[in-house]
Amino acid sequence: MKCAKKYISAGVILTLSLALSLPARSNDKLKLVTTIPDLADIAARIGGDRVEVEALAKGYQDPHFVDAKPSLILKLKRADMFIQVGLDLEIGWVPPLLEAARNKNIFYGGTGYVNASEGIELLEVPNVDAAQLRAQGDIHVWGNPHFWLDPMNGKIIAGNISAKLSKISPSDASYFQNNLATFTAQLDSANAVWMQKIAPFKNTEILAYHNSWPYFEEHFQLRIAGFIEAKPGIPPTPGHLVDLIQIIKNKKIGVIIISPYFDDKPAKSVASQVGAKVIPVAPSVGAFKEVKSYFDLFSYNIDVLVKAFEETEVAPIH
Amino acid sequence: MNTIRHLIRHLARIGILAIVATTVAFAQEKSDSNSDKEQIRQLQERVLELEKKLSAISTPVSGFAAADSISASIQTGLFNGGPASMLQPVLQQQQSPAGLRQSTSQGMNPNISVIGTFMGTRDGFSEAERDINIGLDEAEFAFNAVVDPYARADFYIGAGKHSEPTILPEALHDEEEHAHEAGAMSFELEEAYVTLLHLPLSTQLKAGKFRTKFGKLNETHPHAYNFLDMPLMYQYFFSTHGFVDEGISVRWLLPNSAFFQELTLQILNGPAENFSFTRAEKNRLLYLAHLKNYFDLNDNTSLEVGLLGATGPNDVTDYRSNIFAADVTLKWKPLQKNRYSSFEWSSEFLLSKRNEAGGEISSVGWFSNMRYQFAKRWFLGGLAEYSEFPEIDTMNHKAYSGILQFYATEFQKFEIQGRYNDGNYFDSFFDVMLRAVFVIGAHGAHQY
Repeated sequence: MKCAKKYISAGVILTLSLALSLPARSNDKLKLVTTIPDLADIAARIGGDRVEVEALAKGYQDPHFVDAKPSLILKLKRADMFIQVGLDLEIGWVPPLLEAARNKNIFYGGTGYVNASEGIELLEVPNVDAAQLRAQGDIHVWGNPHFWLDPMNGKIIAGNISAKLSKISPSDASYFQNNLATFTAQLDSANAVWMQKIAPFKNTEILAYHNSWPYFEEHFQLRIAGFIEAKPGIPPTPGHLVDLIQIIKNKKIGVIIISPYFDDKPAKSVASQVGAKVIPVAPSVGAFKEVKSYFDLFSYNIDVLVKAFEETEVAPIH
Repeated sequence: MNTIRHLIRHLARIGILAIVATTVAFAQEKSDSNSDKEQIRQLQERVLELEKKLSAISTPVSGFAAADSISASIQTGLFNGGPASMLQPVLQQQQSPAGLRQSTSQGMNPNISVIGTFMGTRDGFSEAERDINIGLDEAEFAFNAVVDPYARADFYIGAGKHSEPTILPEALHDEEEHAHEAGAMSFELEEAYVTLLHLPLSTQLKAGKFRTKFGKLNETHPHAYNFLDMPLMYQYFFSTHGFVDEGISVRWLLPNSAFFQELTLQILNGPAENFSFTRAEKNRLLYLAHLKNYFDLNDNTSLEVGLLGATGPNDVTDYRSNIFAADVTLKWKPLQKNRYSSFEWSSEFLLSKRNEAGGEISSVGWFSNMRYQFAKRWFLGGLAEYSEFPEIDTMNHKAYSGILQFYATEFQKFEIQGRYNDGNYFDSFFDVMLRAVFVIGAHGAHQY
């Protein structure tokens, strides 16, 4: 029993000593936490100097498979607002984090909870019996969730964030709305430049590793002819790669795009046999060191694609 | 303002319909013309252009986001309505993009999943009993949902075969228990609890029947372990299902800004099937406290250290057992390519002090597991174990295993474990286990 008391005393002392290192609020800014850095950059532009923003995932991480580390719970515990992509993109890690955060303000339906997908016109919403859905690989039941890769959807995301910020801090509502107007105008003018750059390559066919790009494809009028993955989330089989090689030859495809968190060996193997290029593209802000903002995301991707199209000299299909 | 916007939309839709109608009429009238198709194409483009303008009117600017969201939701809902969308297996408490779906009765169902575990083993206490067994080891039915803004509820029902620990000393054999071993399946309510999520002082309260917060492993369901069998330490000190009990559990997230720290206090009724503790009379309850400390060593590496103390009755009237335990888990997983390689080392140790009429019995148990992921779907692991018995500190069982796992997807895995058993109360032997685990439905993620 003496032994028991000794252990219990040691535990109590350790607990109390660690517990007394209380957190201190640094300022009165609203603390915003987002799942991916793209949402963080947009939120920072709308919130301006009234907010502090932090993303849970890095731009070079696969947003489907972020680990729900306890350290992320601490960030959510202190948050005034939480913004997620939604559409089950973060289904594997956000629910356990929100449930452990003990922060009802950012819980589903709370005053500080934002589902960025509200109002987005969704692509690729599956139209099959849900019980058969997983036969198609990692398909999202609500539709493809990579909608932030269309810059026009950036305006809708910003609108959602602005509306929620205005509710949380009504006295700053006009400030947030001005920021939204500025962001929207900047995005429109930047988009005009991107569209001009990519215009000569309208309807050019490319391959992608994973089906993350339908919104990007539609907005910038490219055509993705196939994927390196056999099905979303399912690694390619040799037979599938042979089929892809045939597609590349038939369609004279010169470019395969890939996100930095995927293994590029299968893509390079295919490319090397048909003289195509494997181009790493940024799926999110922070994917590469040059991609520091939501604007950089599109500038970078358009620039690398245009350069690749010019180098491969593949004629677009009009 | 909304009225004006509705009016604009209404007029635009009428305009589009009028153009379409005119187009059709015009096209029919000129059906003998060679330019019909071209004219139709031009008019279709005109319709698309008008739709884009309508969409531009609907694009949210500043405070109109909510109204436009509803508009888009209705469009999406109508476009994708029908039987398929009513059968969605996933119901998370996030707002659906297609708001209409939420109004269906199916949409009110909890997350439902079923996990099947197929096992093949070649084991047995002695050479005479050693045999090959194949079959369904368990089917687990899980139901999880948020109850209301304050709570969530979890239910797990298992249909499985009754089993005893791997090699139980004869002295601990219970003939009544042994009688169950006919391979018959039986249903058992494995867990059923409600969790109040947002209580004051960063606490959460759980009440019901649940896997206790013993160490790192026990709360996790066995199908998610890095190895195929319940560690010997758990089998011999608690049960083949681990340490499951009924009662209340309070989790306190300590106000420590430096690292994650959570203290769990559990007051338990005393488990029905357990080698260390028992249900007792005279309000003698079982108490358990676990302190979890989690550190991010860097972006890719984390360390978790847990300390535990538990005390509870080990007989009906007088005596208690005290257990002290520690768990350590080190994880390495590169952020960028986290699906292709990882490493994990996890160990647990316990010391049991059992008071009996004849005095105190001190016994120990531990296990240590390492697992390395060498390809996207492949994991190679090792497990070393040692266990004595709460009632017998002179007998021990040691085991050393190699494990190979193949994850076809997140929903299906195949595993094989070879184990060398040694101990001072049986002849050493080698056994092999094969397991396939498959899941349908929406199964929640396990804790990190």
